[in-house]
Amino acid sequence: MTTTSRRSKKNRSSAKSRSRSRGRRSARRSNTFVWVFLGVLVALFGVLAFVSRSTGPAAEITDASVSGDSLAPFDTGLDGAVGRQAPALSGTSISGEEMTIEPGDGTPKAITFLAHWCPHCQREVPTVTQWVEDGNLPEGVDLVAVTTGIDRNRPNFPPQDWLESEEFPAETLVDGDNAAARAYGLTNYPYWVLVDGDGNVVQRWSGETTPDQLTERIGGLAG
Amino acid sequence: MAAFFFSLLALTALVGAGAIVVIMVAARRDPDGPAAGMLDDLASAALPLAAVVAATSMVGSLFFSEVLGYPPCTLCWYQRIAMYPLAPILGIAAVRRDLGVRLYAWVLAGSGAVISTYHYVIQWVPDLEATACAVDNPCTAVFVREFGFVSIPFMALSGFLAISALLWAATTATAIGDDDREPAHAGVV
Repeated sequence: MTTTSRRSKKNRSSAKSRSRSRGRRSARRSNTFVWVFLGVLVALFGVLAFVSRSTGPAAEITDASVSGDSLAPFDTGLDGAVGRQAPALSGTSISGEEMTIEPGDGTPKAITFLAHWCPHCQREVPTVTQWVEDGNLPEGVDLVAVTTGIDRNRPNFPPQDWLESEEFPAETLVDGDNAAARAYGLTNYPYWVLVDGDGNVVQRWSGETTPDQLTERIGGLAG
Repeated sequence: MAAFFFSLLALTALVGAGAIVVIMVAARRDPDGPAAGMLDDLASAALPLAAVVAATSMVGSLFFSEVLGYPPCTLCWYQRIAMYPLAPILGIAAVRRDLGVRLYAWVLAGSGAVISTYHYVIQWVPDLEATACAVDNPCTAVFVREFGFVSIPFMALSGFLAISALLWAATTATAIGDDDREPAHAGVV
């Protein structure tokens, strides 16, 4: 090997060694950066956790009482609950007053069950509100609602504020422990139960309802 | 406040991912230009940064469920399955400078991004999933919507995209101590 080639090889080796050193320093800096950044994030999360644990808005969530036999859970297809007596519900309305839903008091009722966090219910409420404002609710038919599935950890809580902001026209019962929902066989939200003046179930359905469907179904309730 | 903070992080990650893509494309077009230089600087930090993004996303999702009490739905769990393993995998790979992790991480990040996208879409158009809400915990329920459009699936999607972009940038990293290998510029995997 010539002197020149030995010197070249030595120079390349030195250059490689310097590069490895730079690389290791760079790697250590990157790792240090990672650990520092993670440490800052952990500290920040700790602060956020402490601050975010403040309680949400205070809202009166009461339970509803049920009297009478429960309806079978709703399912698509032949509904075995049709013709059966719907149970009576009592409790507190969203405005804080005593409220009772008494099927069989002589007045047909359209009862809707709503969950504050359900996007379909959030769309249903303004639809129903507009439908009523347009004068489509038949005379002699009561439109009542039950706010159920209440959960302060889910969006759009409390339901009282939501329904009042929507100017929902139906008197609404608060069903804090979902007893009313279970008694009426709720399986999905939103949920409707139509009962005649004798308190017998005429029809049940779940899912969003169009104004035309409301007119057809509730209109038929008036007879 | 927590949702605002995480939304900002998500937007930063998304903008960062976009910037990386722009730099990669520019460097491909001009291997001797400034973008190529920026890419070389980014490449050495890309793997640790990807690990940080994954760890932040994991901790953030746990924060929403375990501290704020938001219950994860089915699609949330699928996204967690994609994101959570990325935190230790990328962390170890970053410490070991192991670029061989890319393919495995891309599979996870890509899968997670697809699920996040679907979840984000059905939150806007819940009818795509169903016309009614299940009683337990439907995935159409929106817990967070900062700035009018940043929801939790959006945050997850931002994380997956940022990780994918950083892994792509990491392909240009020169292996430490191996100066005989030229940097693989601009996206050569």
